[in-house]
Amino acid sequence: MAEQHDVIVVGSGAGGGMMVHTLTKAGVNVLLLEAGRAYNPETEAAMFQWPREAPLRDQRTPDKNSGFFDATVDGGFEVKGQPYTTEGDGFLWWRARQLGGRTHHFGRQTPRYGPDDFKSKTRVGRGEDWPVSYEEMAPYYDRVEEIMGLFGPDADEAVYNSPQSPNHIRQEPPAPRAAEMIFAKACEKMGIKTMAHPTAILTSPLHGRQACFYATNCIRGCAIGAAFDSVTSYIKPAMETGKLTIVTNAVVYKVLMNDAGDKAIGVRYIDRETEKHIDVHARVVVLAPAAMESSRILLNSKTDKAPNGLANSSGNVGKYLSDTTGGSLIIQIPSFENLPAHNEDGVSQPHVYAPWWLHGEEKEKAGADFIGGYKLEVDPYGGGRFGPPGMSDTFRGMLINQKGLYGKKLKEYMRKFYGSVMSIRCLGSMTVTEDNYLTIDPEVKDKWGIPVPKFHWKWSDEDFRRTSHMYEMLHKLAKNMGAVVVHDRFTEMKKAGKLLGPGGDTNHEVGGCRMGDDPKTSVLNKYSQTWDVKNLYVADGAPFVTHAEKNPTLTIMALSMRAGDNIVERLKQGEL
Amino acid sequence: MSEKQKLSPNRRRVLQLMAVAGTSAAYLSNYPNNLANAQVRQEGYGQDVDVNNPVVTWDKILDTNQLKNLSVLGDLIIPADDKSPSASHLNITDFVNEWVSAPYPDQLKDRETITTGLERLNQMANKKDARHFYNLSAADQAAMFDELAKSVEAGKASEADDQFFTRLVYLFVGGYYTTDEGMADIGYVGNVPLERFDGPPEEIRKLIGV
Repeated sequence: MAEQHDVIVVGSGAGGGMMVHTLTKAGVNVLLLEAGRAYNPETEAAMFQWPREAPLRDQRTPDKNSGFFDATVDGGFEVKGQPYTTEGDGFLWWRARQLGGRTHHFGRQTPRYGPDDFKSKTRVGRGEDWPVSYEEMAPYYDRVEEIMGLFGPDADEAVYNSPQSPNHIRQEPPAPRAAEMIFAKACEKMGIKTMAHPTAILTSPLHGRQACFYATNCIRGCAIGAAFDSVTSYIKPAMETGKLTIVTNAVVYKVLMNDAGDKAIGVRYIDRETEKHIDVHARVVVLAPAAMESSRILLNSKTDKAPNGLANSSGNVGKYLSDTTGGSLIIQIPSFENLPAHNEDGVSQPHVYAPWWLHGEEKEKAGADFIGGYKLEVDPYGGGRFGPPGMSDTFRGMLINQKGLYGKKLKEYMRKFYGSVMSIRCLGSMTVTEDNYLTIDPEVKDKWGIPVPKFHWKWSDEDFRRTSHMYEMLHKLAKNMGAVVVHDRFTEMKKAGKLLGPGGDTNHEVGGCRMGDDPKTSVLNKYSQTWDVKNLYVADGAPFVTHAEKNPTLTIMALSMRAGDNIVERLKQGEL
Repeated sequence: MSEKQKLSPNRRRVLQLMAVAGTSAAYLSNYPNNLANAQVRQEGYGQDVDVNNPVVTWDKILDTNQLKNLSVLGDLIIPADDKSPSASHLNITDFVNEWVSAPYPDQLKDRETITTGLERLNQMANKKDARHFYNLSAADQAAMFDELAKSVEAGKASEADDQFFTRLVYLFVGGYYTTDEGMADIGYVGNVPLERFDGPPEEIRKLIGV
């Protein structure tokens, strides 16, 4: 590249996209490297197509792990030619290879982390503290939400440790669906507060994007800009500044250092189409290829000065990984049988949820002996009338216990029970330990000869306790909803001797380059800058220290914006 | 996309038996001289599809007799009534063919389950001097299928029969209730743009008690 850029950003997803937006809006010249191809949801998202228009009625396959119409390009739990290895309890690593990364496919749930989540050790006596507090993050949450757009509850409804977006930022939520009204009523009976779920979907137009029209699963990507994605909200506006150069099909695998080994000078990538290795240079390098990949790149960027991997004097690179935990039950609500048909599509995420409700003494009394907690929701993919009927989600739940049913009786059963079978689910924290980490596999390489990551995963006793608590709660919730439990996979798993599935299953994997106040026990400082290399930052999910019962994307973007501000300031001061 | 190949019944059967023997799609691509690979497409649609132009990238492999058997079974599973048509009227058999012909592991497993199950039905039909299950009288077809269903219900069916019945119903139900007629029958209303989402109407709220 003849041009010298100020900053190279690796990755165009939630963190990378936010970084690109922050920097270019401040006048910084950015080179964005994306491993996948260009992707534009305006022309590529499948809006309104029925499942029957796709092969196998849109059923998930090894090629498209979330169905034919899913937005993910060249990815899923497997990316061809780019394997990974695992040991222990197993790990599933979801990757996309497209401009905008996984933001076209993700669920758009954007809760804020709370004060106890950032300072768990100090405030709750469990886990570790982040080097930032909620007070320091709040203005960043505000600014990200203003760009991203979201609907959410009245801020005054917020419960302890689940702060909500201020009323002048969040938009009105859609009304609860029938099953969600039952859910809210049941929670109320149990003394648990419910409210709208903060979700990055517009209910009013914003920044030239249309409001949602309450149809079409967001997982397909959004052609009208109602559901947030990195291309629509970050990359397109960044392009308009004239400060952004994008190179797609660029698979970065190494950070390049100067001879003294104390300054990053650029990165090396493989062009996916020509297979050539290309070096590009800049004053600052930001890694945001997705959490696990950041650790991989650093560990594969050894130098004489950094024999254990770049920016790894703490030995923490690749360590303290986590995902969120989860659970669900398939239930049937008798009062929903033979209900007259009505449109229950809504947005393809829960309109309503119960944020985690147990803290302090109450938590102790409830026998909740674990860090964090979990939220409760009606699953919008689990059946009901939430979107067009499809193969696995709708019918599996309905047929799972009906042995030998066919003919006239089957038709009558379908008419009676359709809409009354659905799932209730939890998303929970994970206990971060030394037992979850990645190393570089000593043998296995990807198709270009670059060593791949090996994931070491082991659930802790606390995770088992939390999941057990979840399932007890889900059963209570089902009962209070007047529902019958149709299928309990936890019971099955317990019988098989496995309490939890593989890690990475909820696709919220973070960690590997945790931030902290002490360079001996962290990789990054509070601005996501590596301690060892002043002009190297990490802006995806890798900086996470602990993992709350909250989807991580909003926090990834807030940290990225904060890091971006820091880069801009230091560039101005001539420090970088 | 290639035209459906006209294989002799024997060559087609070899392809299916290979699946029955647990051979995966990998086998088909590893042996380029293999007759099946030379004749029948067994490719997945890949990881970068054109969602606006969906294409089935594999050939359908069931033969005429298997399709006839499936149509009979489909109409036993989902018969016509005054509210909605039969499965064969909506050509759901074609969907089942698409499904079991797909080269992915789950579908290959169903291919084995369904084709061997159809074979067993034919063998039982032979005992009544019919060449294929579909050659039996309607009454005999219904009785044989009902016997299978009852054994599954009672938990007395073999693993293979249980799987055959269960997967057959799942595929016909999935194929059927994703059609316009099927969705109208069970009462799915949606996939249309709305200006607002206001939740369930008063009538519904009264019925569910909120």
